[in-house]
Amino acid sequence: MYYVPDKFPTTVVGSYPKLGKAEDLIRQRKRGELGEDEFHVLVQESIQEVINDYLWAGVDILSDGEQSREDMVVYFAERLEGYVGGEWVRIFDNVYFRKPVVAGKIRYKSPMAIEDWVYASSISQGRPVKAILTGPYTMADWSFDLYYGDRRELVIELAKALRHEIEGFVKRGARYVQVDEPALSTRPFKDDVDIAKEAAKILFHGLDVKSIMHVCFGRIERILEYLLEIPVDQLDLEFKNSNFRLLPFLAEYGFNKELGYGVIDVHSLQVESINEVLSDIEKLMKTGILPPEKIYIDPDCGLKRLPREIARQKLRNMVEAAKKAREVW
Amino acid sequence: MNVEFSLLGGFPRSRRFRHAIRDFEEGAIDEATYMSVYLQELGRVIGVQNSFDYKILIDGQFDWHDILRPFSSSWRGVYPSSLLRYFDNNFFYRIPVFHGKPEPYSFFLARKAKMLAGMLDKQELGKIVVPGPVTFTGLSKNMTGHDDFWLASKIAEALNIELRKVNSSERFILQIDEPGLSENEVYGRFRGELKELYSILLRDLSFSKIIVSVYFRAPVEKAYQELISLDGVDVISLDWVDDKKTVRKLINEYGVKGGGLGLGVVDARSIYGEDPEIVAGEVRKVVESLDLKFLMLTTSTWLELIPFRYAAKKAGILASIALYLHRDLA
Ligand SMILES: [Zn+2]
Repeated sequence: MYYVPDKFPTTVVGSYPKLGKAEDLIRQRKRGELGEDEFHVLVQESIQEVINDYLWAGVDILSDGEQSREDMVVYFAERLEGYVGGEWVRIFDNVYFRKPVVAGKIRYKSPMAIEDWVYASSISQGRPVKAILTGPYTMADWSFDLYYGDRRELVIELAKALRHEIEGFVKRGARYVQVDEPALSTRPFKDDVDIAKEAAKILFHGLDVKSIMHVCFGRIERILEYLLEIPVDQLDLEFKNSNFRLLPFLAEYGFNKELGYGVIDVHSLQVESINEVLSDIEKLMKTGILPPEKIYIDPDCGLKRLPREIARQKLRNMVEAAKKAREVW
Repeated sequence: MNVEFSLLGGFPRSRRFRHAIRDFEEGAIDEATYMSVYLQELGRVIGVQNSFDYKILIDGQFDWHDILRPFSSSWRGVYPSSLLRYFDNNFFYRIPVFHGKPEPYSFFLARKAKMLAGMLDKQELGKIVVPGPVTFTGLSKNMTGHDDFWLASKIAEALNIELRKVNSSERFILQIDEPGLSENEVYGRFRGELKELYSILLRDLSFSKIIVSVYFRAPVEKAYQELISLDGVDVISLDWVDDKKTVRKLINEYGVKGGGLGLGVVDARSIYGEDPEIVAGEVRKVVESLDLKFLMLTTSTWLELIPFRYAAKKAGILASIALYLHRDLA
């Protein structure tokens, strides 16, 4: 049994650079050369590599590195009933993704991300692995809808389907479940957060698990007040990339949940030094809003776009800084 | 009332052009080969519009990586850098970093206009679309050492130079895109300064009509007030699809610009096919009470964020809505 530190536990948001054969395997599965079960067995080698890096860095609460997911929305869309494969839509430059299309009633079919999580947990040397899935608001927002014609209804139906997956995680022993809702910060309005709030109730109601919502990159300060009403234990937010602009707002809105405190810039190749991270932790401690027991130290967002060497060094320095912070506070 | 219609801008890339652009960027094909594919694709985009009887045609800007890129990669004093989310879309643009005064020197816009003009019939007009100085500055990083107003005015100047190079500009409508005016954070930095910026931007231009278009959301109230009092601008175009209530409020409260109104009535970000008759009915209710000389119907935003075949479908829906309204309002 591994004991997660009481103060400043360290964690990750979820994704990690694709390692080993992960990319090839995803392609082969898409082409139908690999079945779903076989795919998840073969991808274990990549998950093992990710876990090795986390253990080397010393992270307390791990993830499977999302090695099976070529895209956070497409992965789940391909595995839910009601979705059909989309056509290419540009995402930047000359890079595209197949934007999924909701063409029928959304229904849960079978476990989607649980296999990878089970495997990661089996090799994590007792450290807890966070179960992570894309939230219903983001799933809806980054899909085309030809069936519901109503954003709220689609989000709620997706939440009902994803609830089955969360129940599956909990049954298998997950203690931390995180839903990623990056789309929430793109439309910073109360009505939209209210939909996410209704969805979160469906996702987590009555489950004995630490519930987390990750939101990043955007005008989070404009929705923070409403985010606090979302029934989750922890909000995991990006701070480093926006130069801690959000900090004063935590006090203003009386932040009272656990905080996932993003101190690593996932868009920068510059590795944050231990002292830099420590001084960024100090910025939060100076506000006096939260005790160290309610602060989780992690990167701003997933690390998937970074080179592996930089990703793991960033994590290592983050972990070292958290250790020092435990001595100070 | 005269009912006109045109696509707001941006057409998605076909598979063929995606491959051509990749091969060209990787150096696998030469410029001549790339340009021949470009011209064929341009023909296709024009063909879609011709088939629905568009009289104002866009070139689709399908070779632009984002609305700022042709400028940020061809002007001196600026370069495109890291990716940032483009408003509320799951789409990313490269942040232009300005380190000095922007200076155009290759005049790509004039070349593009010439290619479009070559595809037009006599009775057709082309439409040129450029980003407005407020949005351009708001989406950029200013490392010039000067303040944002300085930069915005230099961007306006550079755009003006590009636009003055366009030959036979009376054969074109100019559309200036200012989605940034829907955001307080962007507009707030230029409050009260639109008049001056636009006088620089529009100096000595002779386009057949000049439109300022605000989309993704409705413009900030104060911004709309400034927009309708701009000299040299003929029409303000608003995103009806996104926020009908606010758009109605703005036009009822503050009126329209010069007796004309632009409305984005077809959802360019969804693949759902609207019923043209229903949309036409809704629009009719709004414009009936206004004393309009002309109505310019468009898609709500660029069509680049949906797949090619749906973009073509949306072009057809817009033309049908215009037909209904033409019948009812003319
Ligand atoms: Zn994120």
